[in-house]
Amino acid sequence: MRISLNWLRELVDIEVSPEALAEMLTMAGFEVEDIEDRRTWADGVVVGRVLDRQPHPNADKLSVCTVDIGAATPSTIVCGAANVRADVYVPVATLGTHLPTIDLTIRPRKLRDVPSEGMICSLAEIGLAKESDGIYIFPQESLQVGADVRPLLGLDDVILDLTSTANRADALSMVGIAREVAALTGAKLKLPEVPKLPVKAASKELALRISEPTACPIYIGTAVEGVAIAPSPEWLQRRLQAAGTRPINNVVDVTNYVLLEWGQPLHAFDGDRLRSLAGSTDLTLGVRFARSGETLTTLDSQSRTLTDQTLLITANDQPVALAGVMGGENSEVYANTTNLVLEAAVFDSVAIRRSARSQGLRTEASSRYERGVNSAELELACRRALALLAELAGGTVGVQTVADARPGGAIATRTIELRLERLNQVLGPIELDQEARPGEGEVGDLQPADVERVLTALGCELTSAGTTGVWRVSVPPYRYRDLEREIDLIEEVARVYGYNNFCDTLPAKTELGFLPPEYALTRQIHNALQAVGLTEVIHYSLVKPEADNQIALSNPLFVEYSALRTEMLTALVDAFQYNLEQGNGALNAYEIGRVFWREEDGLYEGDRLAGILGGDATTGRWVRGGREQPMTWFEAKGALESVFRQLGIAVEFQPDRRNALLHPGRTASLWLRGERLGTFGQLHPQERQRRGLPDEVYAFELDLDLLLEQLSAEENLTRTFQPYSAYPASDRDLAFFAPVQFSVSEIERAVRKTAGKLLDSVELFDEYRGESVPAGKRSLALRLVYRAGDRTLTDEDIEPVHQKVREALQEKFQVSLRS
Amino acid sequence: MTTQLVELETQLTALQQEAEGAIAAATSLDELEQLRIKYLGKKGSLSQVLGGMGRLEAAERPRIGALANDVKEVVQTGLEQKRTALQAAQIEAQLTAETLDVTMPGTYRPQGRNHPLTSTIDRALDIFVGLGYTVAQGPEMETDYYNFEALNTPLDHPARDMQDTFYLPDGNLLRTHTSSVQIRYMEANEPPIRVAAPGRVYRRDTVDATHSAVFHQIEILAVDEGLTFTDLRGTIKIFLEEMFGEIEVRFRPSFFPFTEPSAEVDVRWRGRWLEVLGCGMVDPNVLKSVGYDPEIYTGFAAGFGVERFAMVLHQMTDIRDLYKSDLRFLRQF
Repeated sequence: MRISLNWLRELVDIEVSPEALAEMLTMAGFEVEDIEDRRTWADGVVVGRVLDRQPHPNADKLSVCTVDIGAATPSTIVCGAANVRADVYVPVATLGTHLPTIDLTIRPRKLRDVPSEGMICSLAEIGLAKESDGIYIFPQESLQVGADVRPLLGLDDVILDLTSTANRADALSMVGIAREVAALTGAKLKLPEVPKLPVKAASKELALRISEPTACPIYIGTAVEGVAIAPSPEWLQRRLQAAGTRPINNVVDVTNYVLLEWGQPLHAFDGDRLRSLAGSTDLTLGVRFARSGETLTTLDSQSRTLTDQTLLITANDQPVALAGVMGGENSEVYANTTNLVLEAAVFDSVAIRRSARSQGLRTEASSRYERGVNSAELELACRRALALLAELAGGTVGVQTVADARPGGAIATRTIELRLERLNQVLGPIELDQEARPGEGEVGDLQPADVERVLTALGCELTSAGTTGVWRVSVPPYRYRDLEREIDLIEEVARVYGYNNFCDTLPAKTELGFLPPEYALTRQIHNALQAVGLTEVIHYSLVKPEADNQIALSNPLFVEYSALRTEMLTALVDAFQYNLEQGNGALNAYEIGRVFWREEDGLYEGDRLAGILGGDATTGRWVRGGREQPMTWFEAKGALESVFRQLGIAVEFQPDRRNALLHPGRTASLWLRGERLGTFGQLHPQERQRRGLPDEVYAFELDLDLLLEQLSAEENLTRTFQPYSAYPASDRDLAFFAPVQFSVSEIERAVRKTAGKLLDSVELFDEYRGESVPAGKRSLALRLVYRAGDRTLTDEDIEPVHQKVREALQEKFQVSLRS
Repeated sequence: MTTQLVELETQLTALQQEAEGAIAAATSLDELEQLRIKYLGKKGSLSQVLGGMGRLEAAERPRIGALANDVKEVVQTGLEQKRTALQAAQIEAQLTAETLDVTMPGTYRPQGRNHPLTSTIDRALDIFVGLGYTVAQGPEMETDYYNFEALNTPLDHPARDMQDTFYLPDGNLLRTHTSSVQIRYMEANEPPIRVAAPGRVYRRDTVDATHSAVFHQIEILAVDEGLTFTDLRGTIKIFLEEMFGEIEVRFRPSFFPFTEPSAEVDVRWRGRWLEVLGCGMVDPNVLKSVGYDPEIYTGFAAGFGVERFAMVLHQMTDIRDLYKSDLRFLRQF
């Protein structure tokens, strides 16, 4: 909200500078985001009178003007505007003036050989308009030449752009801010005196039928007769402009003025247009929800289809306005309007929120109703508007009809019990000596006098509740909506006393701080992945809708972010491709994050670990004569195995062809203690071709929840020492042809099982296919290491075992042994 | 003196001279070994000379024996010295031959790095762990109850404007803050409570240099007997000082439905006040919603955006860089 300090000064005395006021309001919860010091916009611009205007000798579009700016001799000023003429008063930027809006300092200069000593300004050049057709010409008949133009143009003002918090509906107005300033500074409030104009008693000329008293607890309709539509006086226009509202005509401007002053939205209907829409001279205004199929064209010329959530004002049941949101075009005040019906009403915040949403509209009025307009000052705002309409538009107040369904009548009051002990229990100690440095002065509790002073300044009345340190606090009607509970009062005391006048303490008791196992283990996973060269990336979890089991958002903002991701590989492949295209080389990366999916019985989410690796990410290519050495499939697998080994888990790889993104012959499913951990494989050649990626790109996706579950098993968290043998080992190599359908892991498993306890390890050290190997077979070589923990093994120990292994291989896998 | 004696003496002297000359001329260890065999071997020159000793008279033998020993020693010493010299020369030659340009680059596979959001979260959590907190997490798909209602934000509350929400087909929503974890944690635990909840949150917001529809938050919650607003101030100040270093901090009154009093916290960063965090005393209604008695327990909560912290700390200007996965960005952290 834009607050004009000139206007505010009329409502409350302000002794401090705009900057100090802004700081004070900010520290009281009204954050001032900008201070617009309009005084700088035309500092040095004076009233000039154009004495003479002659065409420029050397330029068609320029004029040479003689301008009296109150100096001993008139100034010669070259002007480019078409509307400059003799005998008018104009704003003249004198030599040396800086115009910040257009960042121009006026210096003497020659324009096409004619010297010019200043500039005649347009409104745009002094910040009062976005663009201007020509120079500004003062409408006044007579002005003092050489006088400062700023008071004439409303540029003697400073505007504070401030935000009220969502709970302070009462502060969305000049009066509300003035009250706040008064409470903070102790200055006197000077609210405008509102005369009570006589009204005619309700009659059938203007009746009300409020079908929705919950949505509209109070409605005041007042007829105003004989208005003359005209522009508003200068002072009123200027105030609206300062607040960022465009002046329209005296009637509309009055309703907007009262809105800004009191925070009460009002609406003026053209009374004759209402009667013609109603088809009767007897008008009944109603408030009801729209029926399906009804339409209304609003003031913004939009034809709107109404829903059963749209709250309407009706005239003899014909829709004439969106209640509390926007008026209808068919009853709009226009140049020939003479009779008005002024609406002053309170609408329920929930009803207006839904109604405004149903039309996708948000207006000054609706945003105030949504926060909750205080009904305590409705009559006052209505009287203020009627008085201004009488004064500025020559209207005569006619019939007034009121429908008041408020429980408890017009004035809402509330009394809350406040305990000093509770207040200090919540807030804690203050620095008693505010001059002392933090931690050095004396510390103590807020005193009863502090509490009484603050709450009284805010308009509350405090009486003792009988017990010492307990008050009964009556809140002022305009704070009825947000001061409901004891804690609300405690907050007000802290806020106005100043948050920064409280001490800094730490809780008296502490607790054991720790990272839960799954969090600490996740860090270990990060470390293990980074050690094998993978860099962490983080991608959006909102994606384009693609997969079948995907969860689509009900109210997306953009198609690109309209569904939740079901997997993380696609984004990693995208990132890999992006980095190649940027010339950054191969991205070797992982992401730990959440995926989401739909099953028949509901929506699910789970954590995943996914990665991409490949290309040649090494540095120092010169040692290979500049050749790239892309990562092989087994190197990529090895990177993962290294991670698993580091984490202390045994993961089994099985052939797998399920993931369409991956090469079916080069993909493995990963198994952890019989449960599926995830998938690892090389990108499918089609996918690589489509994206222009190199062949050697590998990806994996693992179930992080399962991984963490296994990692957090007690034996993994605290590992048990395994004794190792002090005796020498004995190697035996086995070379054989094996049918290709048997996997090495099957063969190794059989070797281990057969050799039993004496076998220390088995390692594949060669694989060969091709010439001299029978069709359908491959040559494999294994090294078996035998070792015992209690003695040196002899040939007599090993030979029988090794023989059993040879036999088992022949029997199970039909291998032909070559050694 | 017999002729034989003189002859032998002459032979020995000549042998010594010859050997010395040959050793000096030798250029390799092999050659030197050949010389050793030639002069000192079983069938070498010295043995041959001494073979003639039989013809000497007994009285003359010691004299020749002594002389032969001297010659042998001289030759042996010569061989030894020459061997050492040749070995040293050989090492020297190897060193010269093997000398590298040590300025040429090493070869390695670069290690991976933490994403700056993760390191920012870790840094913050470690501070809170030091202050006695633990970590809690919760679902990103959340019910209206945990995201709003239990946090004192009923339907149609104006504060719902502040965080426009993405809704899901089952009527649930994507959490707009990690405050939902507060409620879940309090429901499952009894005070005293000290917990930090990091995680992803979602807002129905445009995406530009400073806004993201998906971002990360950390929320802390402390509930206990006797916790005060000043405890909140002290905790937040310590946290911010650990995060940003010695820094000026101010608390500004604000409004959140789930805390009262509520504050926004600014730090003076590079000469300007910068809003970094929202906090407040837990609203009694929130404590009631999880069955705690607000007359016995008080608490405080604070929440902040991880992206904002990371951007301030690392002086980034575009939030989108965090999600773009450009190696030129990632390699910097």
